[in-house]
Amino acid sequence: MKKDEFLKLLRDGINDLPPEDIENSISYYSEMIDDSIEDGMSEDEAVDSLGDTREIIGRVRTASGRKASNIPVYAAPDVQAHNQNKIRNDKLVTIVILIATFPLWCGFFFGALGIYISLWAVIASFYVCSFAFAVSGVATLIALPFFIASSQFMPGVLILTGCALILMALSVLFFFGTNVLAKLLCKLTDVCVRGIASIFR
Amino acid sequence: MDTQLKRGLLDICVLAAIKSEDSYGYKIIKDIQPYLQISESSLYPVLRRLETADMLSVYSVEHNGRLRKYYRINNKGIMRLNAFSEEWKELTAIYNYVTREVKK
Repeated sequence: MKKDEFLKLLRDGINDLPPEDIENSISYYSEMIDDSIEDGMSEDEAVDSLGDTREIIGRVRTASGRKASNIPVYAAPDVQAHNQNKIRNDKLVTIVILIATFPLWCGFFFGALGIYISLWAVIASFYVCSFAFAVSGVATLIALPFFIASSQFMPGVLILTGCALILMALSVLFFFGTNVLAKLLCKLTDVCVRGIASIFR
Repeated sequence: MDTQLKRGLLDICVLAAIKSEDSYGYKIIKDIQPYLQISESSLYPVLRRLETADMLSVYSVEHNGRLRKYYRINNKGIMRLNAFSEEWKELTAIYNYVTREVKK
C-alpha cells in the first residue's frame, strides 16, 4: 500500500475523534513512514511494516479515549472503561449546568457579543475611511484641470497634486492596515469558537 | 510477557530512551527493540499517555523538508524513572522469594 492510501484509510477510520487526535496520529504515522523510507525501505514496505490498518485505527481510538479521560499511566483496562463513562457523564453534567445557569451567563455572553460586533464595526469604519481617502484623492485629481483653467496659478496646482497623491497613499495604507486587523479578528473568532465548541465535545 | 507488566515497562523504556537526549518516534523504536517487543502502533498510545501525564513534552523540528516530532523528558518523567529503580529492588526481592519457593 502507498503512504497516501494508508493515511486516507487511517483518517476515514478516526474522523469522529477530536481534531487534535486526528492531526497527532496522522502526523505520527506520516513521520514513521518517511523515516522508514529514509532508512532504506521502499514506500510499500514502509507502510506494510506498520501492520494491520484496522489494529492501528483501534489503537489510535483507544488512545484518544484514554487521553480524554485523563487516566493515570498505570490504570487497569476496567478502570479505563469506568473513567470513560465518567467523562461522558461529566460532559452531560456540564451541559445541564450550562442550560440551568442560562440567565446568569447569557448577560455575559451578549455583552461579549456586543464588544465583538463593535470590533467589526471599527474595522468596517476603517475600510470606509480608506475608501473615502481614495475618493477624495481621485476627486482632487479631477478638480485639477478646472483649477489650472481658472486661475493659472502654478503653486496651487502643485499643492493640489501633492494632496491628491498623499490622499491616495493614505487610502492604500489604511486598506492594508485594516486587512491585518480583520485577519487578527478572524483568528480570534476561530479561537473563541473552538473554545466554546470544546465544552460540548 | 504478561501484557500488564509489559505496559508498565514500555512507559519506562520510552522515558529511558529520551532521558539522555531528546528523540523521535522511529529512533525510540530502534533503541528499545533489542530489549522489548515494540511496534509503531504500540508506541503511539504510550507517547500520548506519557504526554497527557506530563511526563514528556513534544516539539517539532524540520528535517528534510518535513516536520519531525521530538520528545523531551519532563521532571515528572525523571521522577517516574527514579521511582522505577526503587520499585525494581522490591521486584528483585519478590523474584528471590518466588524462585526460592518454587525450588522447595
